[in-house]
Amino acid sequence: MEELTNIIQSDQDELMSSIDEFQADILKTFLKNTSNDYLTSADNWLNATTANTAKFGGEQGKAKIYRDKLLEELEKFLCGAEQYEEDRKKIAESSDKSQQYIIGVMSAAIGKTIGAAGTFIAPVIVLLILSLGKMALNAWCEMRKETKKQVTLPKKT
Amino acid sequence: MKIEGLDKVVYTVGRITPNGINLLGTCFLLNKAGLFATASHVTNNDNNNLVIFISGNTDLTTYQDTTNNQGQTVPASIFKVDPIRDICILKIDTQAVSNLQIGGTDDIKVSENVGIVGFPHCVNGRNILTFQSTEVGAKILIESSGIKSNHLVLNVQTRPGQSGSPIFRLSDSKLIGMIIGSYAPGGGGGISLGGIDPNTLHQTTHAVSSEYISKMI
Repeated sequence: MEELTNIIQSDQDELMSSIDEFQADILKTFLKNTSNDYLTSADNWLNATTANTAKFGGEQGKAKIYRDKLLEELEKFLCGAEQYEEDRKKIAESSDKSQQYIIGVMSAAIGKTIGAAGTFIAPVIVLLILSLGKMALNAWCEMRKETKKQVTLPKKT
Repeated sequence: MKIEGLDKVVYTVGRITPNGINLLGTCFLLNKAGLFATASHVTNNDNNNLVIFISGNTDLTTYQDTTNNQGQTVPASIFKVDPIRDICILKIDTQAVSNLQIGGTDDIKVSENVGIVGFPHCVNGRNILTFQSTEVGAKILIESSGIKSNHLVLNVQTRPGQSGSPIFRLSDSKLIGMIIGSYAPGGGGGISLGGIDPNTLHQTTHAVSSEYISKMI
């Protein structure tokens, strides 16, 4: 799908402009602090917590969202999993081909699956896409498939 | 500072569950149509079944009936999130708007008086709008994921349910911050006595500057 192939070929500035300015500013600080480590920056976003502060909300101890889980869902979205067929169709049929729109649809769809708002995970989606290093989409999907292949141990005789 | 009409600005955020509504914290109507601010930990950044609870029984000029749990729920969605400053902007389908003047912690000095309006103990089902006044004890920088942001220490004890409460400068009702919790080494949560974390029983409340809210809307 051309739109998805293009989005993973986008450069950092293009992808940063697809999210809110205050979010992009935070990501730029993360990247500066981590010498452009996209995955650590993604963890910094997902695990952010105000230091030494007890929180006074009503849902304590809710399960954290892990970067690996998001990467798994991103793979499903980009590599053709049926679960995201409708969302990919939405992107393909829309006249809006901007990165902002595509990242928005991807984030909302993946967020729905993992129980998080799209606007919360959009910056992580951007960082995960940047971490692919402009690899060709097909090659990345194949690589992900290979790394997940089960290793079967030989039977003992 | 006038207390009339604050019940039309400050509400509780809740989540609909099979057992009814769980109140999660406080939120307040911003000066943009349909937008409310709360703490991001109040919503856990999860849109599912999120609502704003409107009881019609929280007028600060009257006696609020503690036995009256009736009210309406309005579906809300998460519009913007800043997890570093622990801020979440909620959106509901309405043209309602407040006349809040949004400032920040630069607009207040240590020792100046502030008013806090919120729902202490709402997480236990008590939906009583409560006004507290105190003074700014310190201006502090608090770190989150390597980024330091402007906060206040307020010399008052706050309790679960008050996260998301607006803080007003008493002299002119300008919004200067929002409650996010209280000081606790390591974030607290180590020991619980009857559901209370003893680490939080003190008068060092943390509030984030509302300047960050302005950048999100």
